[in-house]
Amino acid sequence: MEAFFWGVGIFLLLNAFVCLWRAHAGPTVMDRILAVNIVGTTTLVVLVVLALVFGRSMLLDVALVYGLLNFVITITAGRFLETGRLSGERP
Amino acid sequence: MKTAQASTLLFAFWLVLTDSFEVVDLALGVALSLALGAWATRFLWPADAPTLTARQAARFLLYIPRLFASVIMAALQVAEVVLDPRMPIDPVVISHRTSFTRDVSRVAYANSITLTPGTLAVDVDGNTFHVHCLAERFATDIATGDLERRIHRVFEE
Amino acid sequence: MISAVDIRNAVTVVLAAVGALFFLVGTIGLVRLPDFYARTHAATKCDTVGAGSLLLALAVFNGFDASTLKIIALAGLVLLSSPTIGHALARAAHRTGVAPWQARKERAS
Repeated sequence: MEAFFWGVGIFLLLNAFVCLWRAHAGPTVMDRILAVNIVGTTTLVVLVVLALVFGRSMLLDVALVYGLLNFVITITAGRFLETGRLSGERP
Repeated sequence: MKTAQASTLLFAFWLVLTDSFEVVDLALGVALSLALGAWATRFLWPADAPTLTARQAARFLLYIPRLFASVIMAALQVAEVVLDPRMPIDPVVISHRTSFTRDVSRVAYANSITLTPGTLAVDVDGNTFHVHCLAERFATDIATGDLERRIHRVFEE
Repeated sequence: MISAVDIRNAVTVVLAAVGALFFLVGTIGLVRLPDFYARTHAATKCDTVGAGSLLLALAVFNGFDASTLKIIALAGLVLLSSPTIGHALARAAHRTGVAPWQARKERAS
């Protein structure tokens, strides 16, 4: 089973690298943000896989914080690009 | 009442996170979730935050399995489109007027649109939803108002 | 002789393989599809199901303890956040004037 999990983890990491190509290519800023968000989701799953393989439940907490940050960062970046500001009602 | 609900939820989350039943940890958890719950209800939630009757909550729970099924259907549909070498898409943006009276139904509607096959809620303008469809054939559920009626049954009655 | 552990491992392998496959489809969509909105379709749907299925596989493998509850909380987080992100980014793109790609235009030119 451990070999299988290693396979899944490496497969997901390769996926993440392909997504990084989209973040590089764009063409719009939104494409880049979306690609980075997908990379973040992939990383989250990889972290959980690593937590099980290494038997370190601490990595689950890292994954949880990673997921929450990923969400907040994506929403904030999208909102900032849309309105040009970070708080208050939209103009 | 809302504070109590929020605090209970936060405390459950605390228990999952800490995985400890020591008195100190429990006490800290209770104190933190009460404080955060009180703060959240005062500053984070809008005045007309959704309150669900028992009936609506039950219907919402019944709606969740349907949602799961449609999420999987949606993913399969997108997979079919993406993996097809010809990539048979012809995107259109349609507008659909609804008659919702509560924000919670609008949120549920937008999320349901996003999670059903081939459609993506793009913008909400009062009660008009702008929906991006990968192809016109995906738009039928929204254009006929089927999805709207289902949300209506859950939240508006 | 098939034991409970074998069944658990089989379920884990199947769910994880399905999840990884959906991730692959999401990635291919992100690279192949012609415009931002179409890419959002692929990214939000395929990755939600992919992550959900993979996390479910890992939860099944782990058995029932506090870590499993954390994994389920993570799955809930992904399930809630990815349609929200898709919607937020699509709205931002719409309002900043990213025009949707149309097949008809391409045919005309």
